[in-house]
Amino acid sequence: MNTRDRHGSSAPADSVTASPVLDIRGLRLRLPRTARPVLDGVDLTVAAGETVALVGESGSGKTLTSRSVLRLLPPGATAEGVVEVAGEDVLAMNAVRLRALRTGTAAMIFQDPRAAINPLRRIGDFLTESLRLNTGTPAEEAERRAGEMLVAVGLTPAALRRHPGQLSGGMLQRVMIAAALMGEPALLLADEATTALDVTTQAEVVALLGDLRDRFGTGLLFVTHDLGLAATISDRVYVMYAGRIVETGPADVLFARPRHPYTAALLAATPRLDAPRGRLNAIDGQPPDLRAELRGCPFAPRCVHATALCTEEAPEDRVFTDGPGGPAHRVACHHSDRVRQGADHG
Amino acid sequence: MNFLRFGLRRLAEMALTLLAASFVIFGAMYLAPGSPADFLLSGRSASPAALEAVNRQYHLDEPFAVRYFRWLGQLLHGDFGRSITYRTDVSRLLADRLPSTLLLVAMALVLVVVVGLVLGRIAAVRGGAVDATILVTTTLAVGTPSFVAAVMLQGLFAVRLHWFPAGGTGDGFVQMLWHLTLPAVALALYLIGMLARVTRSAMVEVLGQEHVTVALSRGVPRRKVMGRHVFRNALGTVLTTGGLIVSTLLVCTVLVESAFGVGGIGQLLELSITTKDFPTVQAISLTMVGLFMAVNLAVDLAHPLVDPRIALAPRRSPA
Repeated sequence: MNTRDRHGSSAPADSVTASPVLDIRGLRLRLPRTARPVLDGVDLTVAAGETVALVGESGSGKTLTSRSVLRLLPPGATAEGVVEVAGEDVLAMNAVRLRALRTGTAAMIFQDPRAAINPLRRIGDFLTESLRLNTGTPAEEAERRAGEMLVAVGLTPAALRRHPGQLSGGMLQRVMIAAALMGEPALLLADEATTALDVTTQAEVVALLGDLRDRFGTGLLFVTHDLGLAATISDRVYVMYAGRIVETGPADVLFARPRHPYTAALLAATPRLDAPRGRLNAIDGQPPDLRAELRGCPFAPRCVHATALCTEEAPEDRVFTDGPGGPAHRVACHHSDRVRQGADHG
Repeated sequence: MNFLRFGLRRLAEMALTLLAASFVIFGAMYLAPGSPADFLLSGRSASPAALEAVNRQYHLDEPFAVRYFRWLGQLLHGDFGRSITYRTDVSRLLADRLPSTLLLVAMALVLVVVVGLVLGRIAAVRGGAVDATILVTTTLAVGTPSFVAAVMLQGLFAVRLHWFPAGGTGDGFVQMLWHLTLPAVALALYLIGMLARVTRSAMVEVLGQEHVTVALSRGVPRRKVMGRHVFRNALGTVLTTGGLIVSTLLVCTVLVESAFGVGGIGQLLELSITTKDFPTVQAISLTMVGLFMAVNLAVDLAHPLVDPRIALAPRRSPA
């Protein structure tokens, strides 16, 4: 079933690959009563049909980054930089274009479907409301399309008549995904989309997302703190710390040979089934406070490789390629040569 | 089916509650100081014979239990007894007086629901200075007792501006509407303030919930989100105040009817209490209890329609 063609909108996936569906350049976000930007010069791209993971600890800014793509900014926040979705700057849009973006071009799948869907309205109403209210699609046609989307995510159209309380968490997350697909988006944002689900349901939802991405050619930005999950599903990975991208590269390269001490520490802190039992390798210290100014590298106070240089001067991006013509692996660290996975924190 | 079973069960519960209420009401009058005979014969030096005649006529000389069950038996036949003061059937008195009270309460209820919900919604949606203004106004309204409001409204709109009559009930529906406007406003004022605040805080609570953000993130216009999600979800909380609103209206109508000289059962109740007119007081009290229970039943039946998560179940079953 190729819905995209049937409805005659959007070009085939191939022609879009040239320009990314999401292109964030120098995004800087300030919140009221903070000393430093909560997002500090974020650069990130997602191509059509590509899965990109954005990882980091809680509070690193990954959720704010993904929400900026729909201009869902916290009250009082000011944003600089460019957030282009399908070539159009989200931060500069007027209200009408913004609604069009949210209805069609980009859609977000939220962490907790139980909280994200109004418990008092029927699933059918949730799925179709954006379409009916914004595009004037007749109710019957919107319902029919919602039924198709439910089938696409492995549910039956009978769920349209149900209330959220009558479905399980996993089923609700499928509903959430179906809702995101209703507007035929070029870009899907999954914000911890599987965190609230149990492990088997999580695997099903991840498989479903991959399947849908292949079928509809959407770009997928997967925000997660689960490194194992990021390694499994993504083509490329961005590692975020204190509002900055500290390392980015192809998933296999980055996880096999992390070049930023923070990435290495995160990997070392991930519990493994094959490792001997013992204390988990937590990273010492806390992420920097938003109320304090930052000089130098934000990770320096927690970093085993930190030198005087690190606290003085913010590191520039260094680019590594694995062999000529290989994909770029960018690291913002003065001492990235010293990082060996497992050797530092393990 | 579930609806029907729930309704029948609640009706049975209501009958039992009414029975208990009837006992309390009858007993309270029995315990209250003074007797109708004293009132009827006040100012006159009553001969023991006259006193005995009155006592026998109203069965005042019989034991409590006998009187209670006689009264109860009459009630079941729709006979509320005879008024001592008016010397006529109480059911006749009620039939004459009830319509103006019901109209007054209905008018006040419409005012409370419409104005209260609108004010609360505006305060929640607009916020800022509008919210603050509404907060101050509703605080004033909540702080004003209905009899004070009655005097103020009479002074301004009846005495000074002559827009509305200062009192009376009026004949015919249109005249009644006109006469009852000021009393309805006086009756509604406090509850408008209360309902506006309940609506506002319920909406503010829903506004912070994630599904509101999600609806906005899907391009649903803000105005629609406010109606379809925020206001809609706040209605359940608002509905729970329905019983309180109607009971407050029934209680305050006694004061307001007296202040405006509206010939309803509120005024009748006040007069009957001062004249120790036992049968009338008992009949009105029981009618009010019945009305109050009917409203609570309606609220309970409506709740699952407003919030599908609430299943119809007898209240005593554990959640």
